[in-house]
Amino acid sequence: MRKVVGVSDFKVSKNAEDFIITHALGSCLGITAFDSAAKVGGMVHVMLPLSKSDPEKAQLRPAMYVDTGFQLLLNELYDLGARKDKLEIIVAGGASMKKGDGDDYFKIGQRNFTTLRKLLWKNGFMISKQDVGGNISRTMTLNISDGLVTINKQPINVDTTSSQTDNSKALNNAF
Amino acid sequence: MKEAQVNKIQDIAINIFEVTCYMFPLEEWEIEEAEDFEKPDGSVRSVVHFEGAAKGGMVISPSGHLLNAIAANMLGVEAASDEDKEGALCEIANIICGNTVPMFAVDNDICYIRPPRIAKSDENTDELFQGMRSDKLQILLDEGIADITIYYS
Amino acid sequence: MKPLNILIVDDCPVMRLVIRRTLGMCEFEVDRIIDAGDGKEALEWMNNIDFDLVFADLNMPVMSGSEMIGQMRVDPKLDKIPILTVSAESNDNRVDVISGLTEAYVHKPFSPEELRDKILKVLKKRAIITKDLS
Repeated sequence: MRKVVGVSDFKVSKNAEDFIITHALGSCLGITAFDSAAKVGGMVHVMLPLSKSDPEKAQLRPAMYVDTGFQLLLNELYDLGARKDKLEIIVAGGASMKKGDGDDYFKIGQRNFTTLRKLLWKNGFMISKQDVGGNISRTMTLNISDGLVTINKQPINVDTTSSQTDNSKALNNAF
Repeated sequence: MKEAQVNKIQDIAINIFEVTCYMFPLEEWEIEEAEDFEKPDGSVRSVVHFEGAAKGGMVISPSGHLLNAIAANMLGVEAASDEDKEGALCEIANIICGNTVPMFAVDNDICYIRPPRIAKSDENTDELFQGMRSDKLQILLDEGIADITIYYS
Repeated sequence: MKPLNILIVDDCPVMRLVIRRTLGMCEFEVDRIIDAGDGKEALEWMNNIDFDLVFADLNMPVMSGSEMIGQMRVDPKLDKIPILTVSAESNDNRVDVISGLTEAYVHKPFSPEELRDKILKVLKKRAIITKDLS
C-alpha cells in the first residue's frame, strides 16, 4: 500500500507491501529509518529546526520540527519492534531556497540539517546515506520490503506534480 | 586586512562551528531579539600562535554559554567538565587557525601552528603580539557568541 | 575478522574522544583503543602492541605527527601499519607529502560520517575488513 507523508507528517510500517513516499522536499528534511532485521521502517517530513521556537505547535504537530519529529519517528519504530542498533538513517532535502541572486536569508535547509546532525550525534546515530543541500526539490521513497530508499531530484521551481511523469531529466539516487 | 579577507575568515570559522559543534549562524537581528544572549567576557580565551611563512596568532573568546555548548556538542553530552570545555575551545582555535593561515602565507609556503593554550584570566593577550596588525570579528551562533582577534605581521 | 587494536594520537583529549565515539558507532569489533598525546608516547605504545590502525594528528608538542609518521615509515616493524592523518593542516604541499606517507587524510573540520567513510576505506583497502559496514 502506498503511504504518502505530507509536510510535518510521518508514517511507519512493518508491512512488507507498504511503500512510503514524500514529495517536494525543499528546505524540509525527509528522514527515513529502517531496521533490516525487524523489517520495520518509517519516514518523517520535518519543516523547521527546533520545537522550542513554538512549543505549543510542537505539541500539536511534533513532526513539524526536526527534534520532536525525529524523536517521534524513533518512538513509533521502537513500538513496532525496531532496535536502535539496527536502524539505518537516510536523509534527503535541506535545500537552499535561494532564487537567482537573492540571499537565502533564513537558511532553513542548512539549519534543519545541522540540527539533525547534532541530534544524531548526541543519540549515537550516524547517517548511512544522505542527499542534502543544493537548490533542488526532492521526492523520497522507502520500500518496507527491503529498505530501499530512492531520491528523485528536480529543479526547485518545477511543479512537482508534473515532474512525477517526467523522470527522464531527473537525477536519481537509490540507496 | 581587506574586508573580503575578514569575511572569508568569518565564513571559515562559521563552517567549523557548524561541522564540528553542530551550531548554525544567526543574523544580527535574531541575536538582538534573544534576550539571553550574553556577550563574551574574556574569562576563558584560547591563544594560538603560528610561525613559518607568516607570523601571528589568534585569540578566541566565547561567551560562557557557547563555551559549554562547544564541548558538550563535540562530545555529544549534556554537560561537559571544565577540562573538556578548555580542551574543546583549544581544538576549535587550532582548527580555525589551521584553516586560515594559508591566507597569510606567501607562495604557499608552510605556516606551523603551535599547540593552542588557555590564556590566564588576567593575561593581556594583545601584548603577546606587540607590533603586529590585528583584526577583530564576531561570530553569532544559535548557541552563543565568539569574539575572534587575528594578529599578523 | 579479529577485533582491532587502534591507536589515537592527538594532543587534544576532546578530539580523541570524538574519534573514539565515531569508532564506537562503526560496526566492526574493537579489542583495544589506546590514546597517546604526542608522537613519542605513540611510538612507545607501538613497541608493545600490534596496532591495526593509527590515527595521527600533525601539530602536537614533544613529537609532531609528521616526525612520528616519518619514523614509522622507516621502521620495518611499523611501516605497514595503516595511518589515517586527522589534521587542520591546510597547506596543499604539506598535505600532499603527508598523504604520500599515509593511507588517508581527514581534514578538520570533519563530520563523523566523513571520518567513518575514510576509516572503512582504509580498512577495506588493507583487507582488514572485507564486507560493507557502516
